Amino acid sequence: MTRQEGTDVALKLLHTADWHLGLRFPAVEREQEVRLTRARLEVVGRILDLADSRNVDAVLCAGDLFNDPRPEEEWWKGLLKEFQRRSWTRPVILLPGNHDPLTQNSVYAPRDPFRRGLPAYVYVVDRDDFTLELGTTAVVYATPCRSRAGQTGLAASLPAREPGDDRLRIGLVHGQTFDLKDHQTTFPIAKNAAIDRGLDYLAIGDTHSFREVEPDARVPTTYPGAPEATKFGETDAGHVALVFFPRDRARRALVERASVSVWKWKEVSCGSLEELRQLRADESLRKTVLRLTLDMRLPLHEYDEATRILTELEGSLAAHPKVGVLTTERDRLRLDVTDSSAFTEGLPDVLQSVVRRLEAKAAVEPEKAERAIHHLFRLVQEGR
Amino acid sequence: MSDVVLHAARSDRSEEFATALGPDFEKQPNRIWDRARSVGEVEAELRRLRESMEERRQEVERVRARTTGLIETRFDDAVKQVFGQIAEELPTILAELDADLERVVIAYLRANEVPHTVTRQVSRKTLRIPPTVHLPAPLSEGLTVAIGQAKRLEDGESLHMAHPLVLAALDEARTAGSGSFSVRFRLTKNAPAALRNRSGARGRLALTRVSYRGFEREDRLAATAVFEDAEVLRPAAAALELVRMPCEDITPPAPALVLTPADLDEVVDEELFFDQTQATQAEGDAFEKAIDQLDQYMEDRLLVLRRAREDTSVRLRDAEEKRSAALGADARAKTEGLLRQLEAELEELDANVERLIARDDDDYGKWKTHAHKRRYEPPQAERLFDLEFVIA
Repeated sequence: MTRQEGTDVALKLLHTADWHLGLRFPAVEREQEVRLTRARLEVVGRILDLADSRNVDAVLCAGDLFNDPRPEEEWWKGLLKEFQRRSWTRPVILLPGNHDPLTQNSVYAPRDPFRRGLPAYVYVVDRDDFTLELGTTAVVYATPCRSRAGQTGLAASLPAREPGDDRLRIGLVHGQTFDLKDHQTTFPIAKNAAIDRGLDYLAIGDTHSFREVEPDARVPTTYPGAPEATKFGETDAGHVALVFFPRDRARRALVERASVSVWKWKEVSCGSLEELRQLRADESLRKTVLRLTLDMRLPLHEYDEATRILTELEGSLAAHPKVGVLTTERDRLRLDVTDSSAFTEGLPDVLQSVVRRLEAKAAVEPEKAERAIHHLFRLVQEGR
Repeated sequence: MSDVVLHAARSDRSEEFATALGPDFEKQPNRIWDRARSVGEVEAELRRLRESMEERRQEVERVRARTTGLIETRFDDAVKQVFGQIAEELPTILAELDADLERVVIAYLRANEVPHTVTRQVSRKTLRIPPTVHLPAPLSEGLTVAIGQAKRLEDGESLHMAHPLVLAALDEARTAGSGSFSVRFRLTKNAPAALRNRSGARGRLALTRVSYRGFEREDRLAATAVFEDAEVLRPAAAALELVRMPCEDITPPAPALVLTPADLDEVVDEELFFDQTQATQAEGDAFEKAIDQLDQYMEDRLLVLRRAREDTSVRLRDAEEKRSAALGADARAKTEGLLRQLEAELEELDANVERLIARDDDDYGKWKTHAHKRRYEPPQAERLFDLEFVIA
């Protein structure tokens, strides 16, 4: 049931932002990159399904939905498909952000095939004075970004509440609040903008972690964050905001974060073989983007086990990888060559001599010597 | 359990190893023989083949041992644990079910002024109802039912969910028990503090059945009580406790409640909206598992294609070497044909790999849509009744 059908129940919204469709991940292998880029589209399906499941009255998408104003066909067509397979009357509002600003040839331009293909329930914020009424009791005001950077306070440009207007007023803009440390602010949003403009909720986008700007403020201003993280360190990414407006205006809108992400991003540093073994036992790694840093010096048998564990994590033609997307820093995984010749016992003299020479060479060219000793060790083990 | 799942090993594992190596394994000796130009080369190639086979054998053994270990340690334990838990919890659950059935049936009989007696034995109770006009046929002829353990039951029949008496009681409760009422609750000694503290308070209460039809079918009862001062009764479990308290019908309280039905509706709406996150937590886990299995299925198919691609690449390299060594136009033409065929095979395999990586696959799409539909199926909320209440 939607607000358009004239029900007099409290208003419910789903607020999302920062999909960054088409974002590339050049640091990982191509196939893994495909998984991550595809997940960004998959999560949009989850978000729209969640909106259905929670029977919200509208979906607000607060900018940076594409990573670029002219995304590749795969991304805008994929998004279009998600919209077209739903026969909704529930409005979905798409706001151009600083990554996908509203320009003459952007994906939001009136003649663009993406824009032309959008079903009637999807609205694009293509005017500075964009207004959409949600039934008779609520209204959304929005202003788009028109460039990649700017100093205009878009929230401040939203219309103030007129005397006698007792509708629920929701603001929708993209930009940065002032309180982000060490950030150069673009499209600044003042902390008190929501109250200044007489809003009941200010839906914003830009920061990739879920965050209520002032949790105790009378009017919530919320970043839902990116529904899929874009890089390591975005600790609270992977959510959307579900907002419930009680009919009693004395009460504040209630905001709940709902998890939607496919991938978890994790940085792990292993300083011992035991830590690496524990990591291998983690069953959740299949849906994890893992940056693994190894910092350990191991005797030959343990070094060999460590490399086998790494093969398990990475996968091979014999077995699936244990980790969904893996990048490994293994420069500091070193072989302790002391007493490494123990494994040559019983082998021909020539092999024993080779290992002794490699041990000596480790002082000059450690990496090459360590690799050679390990290869030899493997060959001998397989021969036995 | 793992032997059943993985197929019990009969002797040496040569058969399963050969299967794991794939059909190409048998062709390799012939290929070596065709390609080698001296006995020394044959020996060297066979040595290389033996080494690579040994490597693959070890890998197969290792994966098998690991899989067996995982199944034995996790699956066996998990199954034992589940059965143990069922054995432990079942008597309590059955006793609770019997108590609920008794409560429903006795309330029905009392409401309809049906004379009845309940006698208690060690493991069950016996409910006797003489012939009465207050019950529908065939119950009107009188009956004796046992509530509790049905073992060695001689007198009467066991009371169960599908028994006509239970069905009649439920039917009556549904028709007479829905709508709007005014009641006075009398708190029992074991009423929670949240209720005892509100003695004399008035308010409105709604009982809603919320039906989830996702991966699991679940019906949840949500009781929402709001006092006249607009305070919502917390915790939510206390509102359910209030519904269970004895009550009597009263005339609508005077003066009329300030709190309107619309106020109650709003709180119900809010409670249901936020309860959905908690209620669907298990659904979320089941959904992620289903999607993960689906991805695993695609990865399995990809692995098979990649192995085939690897084999084709080896054959292509062999063919290229043969072409280089071919003497005469006929021999070269023959190898050229094979080369073209292998290149086409490789191209097709590459295209299929790309297609599966992009998840461009009808089966995948169908099952993914199905999983999404189950996960995000909106719940159905049905208001069973609402009350104006006074707590005595």
